Amino acid sequence: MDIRMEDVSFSYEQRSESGAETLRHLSFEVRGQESVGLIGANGAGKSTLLKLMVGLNTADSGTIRIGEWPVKKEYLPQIRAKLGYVFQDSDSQLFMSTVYEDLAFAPRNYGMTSQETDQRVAHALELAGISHLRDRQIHRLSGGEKKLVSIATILSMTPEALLLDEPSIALDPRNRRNLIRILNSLDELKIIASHDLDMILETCTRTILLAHGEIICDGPTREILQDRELLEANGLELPLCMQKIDR
Amino acid sequence: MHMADALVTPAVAGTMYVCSAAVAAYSVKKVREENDPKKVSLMGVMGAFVFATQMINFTIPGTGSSGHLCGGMLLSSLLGPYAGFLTMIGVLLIQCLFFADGGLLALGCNVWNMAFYGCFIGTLIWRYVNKKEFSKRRIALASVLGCVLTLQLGAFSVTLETLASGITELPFGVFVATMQPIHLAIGAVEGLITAAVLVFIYEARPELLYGSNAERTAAGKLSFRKTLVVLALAAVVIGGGLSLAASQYPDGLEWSMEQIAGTAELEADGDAYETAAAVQDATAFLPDYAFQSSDTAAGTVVSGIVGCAIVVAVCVGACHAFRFFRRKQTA
Amino acid sequence: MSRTGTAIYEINAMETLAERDQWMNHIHPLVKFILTVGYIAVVVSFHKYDLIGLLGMVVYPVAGFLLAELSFGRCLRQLRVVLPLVCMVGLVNPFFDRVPVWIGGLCIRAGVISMLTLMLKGTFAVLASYLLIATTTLEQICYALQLLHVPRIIVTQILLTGRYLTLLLGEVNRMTQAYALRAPSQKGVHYKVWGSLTGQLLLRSIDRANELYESMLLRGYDGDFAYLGAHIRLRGRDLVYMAVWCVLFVLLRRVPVILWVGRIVTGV
Repeated sequence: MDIRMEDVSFSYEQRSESGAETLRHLSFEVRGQESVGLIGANGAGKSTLLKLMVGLNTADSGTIRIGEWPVKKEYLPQIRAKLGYVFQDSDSQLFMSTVYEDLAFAPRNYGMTSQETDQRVAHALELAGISHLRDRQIHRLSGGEKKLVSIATILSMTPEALLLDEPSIALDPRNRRNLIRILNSLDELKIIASHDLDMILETCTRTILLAHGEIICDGPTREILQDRELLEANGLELPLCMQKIDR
Repeated sequence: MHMADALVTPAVAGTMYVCSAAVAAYSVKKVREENDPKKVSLMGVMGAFVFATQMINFTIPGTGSSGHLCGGMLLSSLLGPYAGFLTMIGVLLIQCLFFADGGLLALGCNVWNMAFYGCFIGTLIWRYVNKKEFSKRRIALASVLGCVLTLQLGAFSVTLETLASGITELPFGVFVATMQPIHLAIGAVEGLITAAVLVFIYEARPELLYGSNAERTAAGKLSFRKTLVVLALAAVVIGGGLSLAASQYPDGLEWSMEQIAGTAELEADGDAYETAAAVQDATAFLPDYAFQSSDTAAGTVVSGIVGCAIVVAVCVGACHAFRFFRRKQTA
Repeated sequence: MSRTGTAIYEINAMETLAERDQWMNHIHPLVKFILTVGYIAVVVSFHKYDLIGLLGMVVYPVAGFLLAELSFGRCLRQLRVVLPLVCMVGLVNPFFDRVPVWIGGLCIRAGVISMLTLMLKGTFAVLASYLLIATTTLEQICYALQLLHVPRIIVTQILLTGRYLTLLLGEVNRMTQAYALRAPSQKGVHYKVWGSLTGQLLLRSIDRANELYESMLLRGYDGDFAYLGAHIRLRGRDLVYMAVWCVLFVLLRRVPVILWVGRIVTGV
């Protein structure tokens, strides 16, 4: 799948005074099975950008193409079937009572038979490595388990691309390591918005740096994440693994 | 103000279920007309919100006690009367099931007493007070007035429904004299708490309030006259239904009338039996073993206890046998 | 534990009970729902002096608890606040209904009988509801409502309220705890922050509702939770179960079974 943005601009009317959530003339392209990191300080516009791709917000100008479809109201069902979005807050994503039910939500809505649904759910559970959580109640899961279930809910629709908004937030080291492993095992196109630069380093080959609603830099992850001046000028720091520890 | 099942007879419960269902059906139609798909998820979360905030203790200054939020008023100020009403149904059902707060049979009564008055009368007052424009003072006034009035109506309805069911021996006068003042105080407190929240919303995100500019143009306006007509019709239906139900159990209201008329001392044998006979004649449901002579009554009580014990023992035995054989079957 | 903490615990406990792989949990939810409402209706229809007849209705909760392998003690503990309130309703009766009734030389007021009847009715009704919710999940109850042609909007809304309840209770819990830590001498929320504390929670809840809606949209939601009863089938044993209880309810209501059994045994 290809995702193409051309000269896209967007602003929230209500928050226009602060100007923090405005996107200006963004253009970029991702294709195939790339793994792209989207980094930037708080308020840079990362979440906004992701939401534009799935049609949760409508761009004021410019065009966005997801695969063969432009992002317009009439194509949204097709786009959303192929583009999975994982919310930052798992609790906004999980609303059924058991893991199975939540994973089955999307396939059922798209009209699949209960046999197909079963297969999809089993496959998604396997991909996320959580087959043992199949019949568990969601409210009993830990934060890390909920995050993996959130990802699995998207995988049950076998998307061609995944958009993840701050996936490693609130995960303990082991769960975070688990997450990185799973992300690396998935073949689909991935766009990961995150502050966790160390995770970006381990999962993404390409990185886009956003600041004040504009693309500052778009290139190989290793190059961008080793450029201290660039990062610090845009509200970030070097990844922790690259910083010297002062004793 | 949640009514337990024991407070109503099936007839009264049924009548109120019919009334509540009618309003619910109308509300569903209205909400569908609004065609705002976002509303359903908002209703769900708001329902959970109202529920959760019932657990917060808002301390009343000066007293040691605490008050709570008025759910109906809050919901209708944010969602409008129709969506608010439907949300309250969900809240009341879950309160009933999970917390035994209000009975399943009495749900129809509770929906009417709390959700109907809370959302529809509440919205009427909300719109009337805020007709020209919103302001902190108006919102607070609407909130307090709305809560007080809806709670008064609700409490009065509880009284009527309970008496029509012939459940309690409490005379009408005493019942009313206890219920109304208590709920006046509760209503005032709830009104103030709800006002505080709504004023906060007004200052932070005024567009969320029902009746703000975006909403004024929406379809389905609640007109004062239309609501009065509905209320009048409802009063007729309920009054008719309740009196029909009450007529099956004349003893309830009549007994209390007799008590008010006043026999403070114990009656002599003859009088007691006369009234007992009268009651017996009045209801076909009264079993033939009540109000018998002293000895047979004692014998009846003993038989009753023994019989009950035996029946329960048989039941327990049967259940254990069932479980035993099932285990064998599945093993 | 705080009120909200207890509430969360109890809700989770009920859901866990209802999700066990247990015989009673597999009975069709509509059958259980109808029987519960029917039982309560029959119980409250007993005449206020028909204490002995009413006693017979105890078999439904007794059998229900046994067949569903529920702990009666745990039930009482959970209902320890509600049951006394329910029983209090009849307390005034002896004061107003002074008709004397003689039982073996002992004179009591008729009001005492009607009070006992009321208490029993209240208790039976609450036990029946507990039985229902301990053997049926919220989804299954919503499925039963759907079968009863309750409109989709209402059913969906009930489901979502139930789903988000534990979450919001958790938030309230955290907020009140944080508040208590900074206002140790206060028992509840001071009036000065009534608005802002609750208002913040409200705004956050609305934002959460928006996110929830978006996430549902992204997974193809078009307004219906259409698959509630996916694995539920009406089986023969459900109908047998229903028939047996219906017969028993009618029998216990119309015929003084308890009395007959007792009289046969005691020879009175």
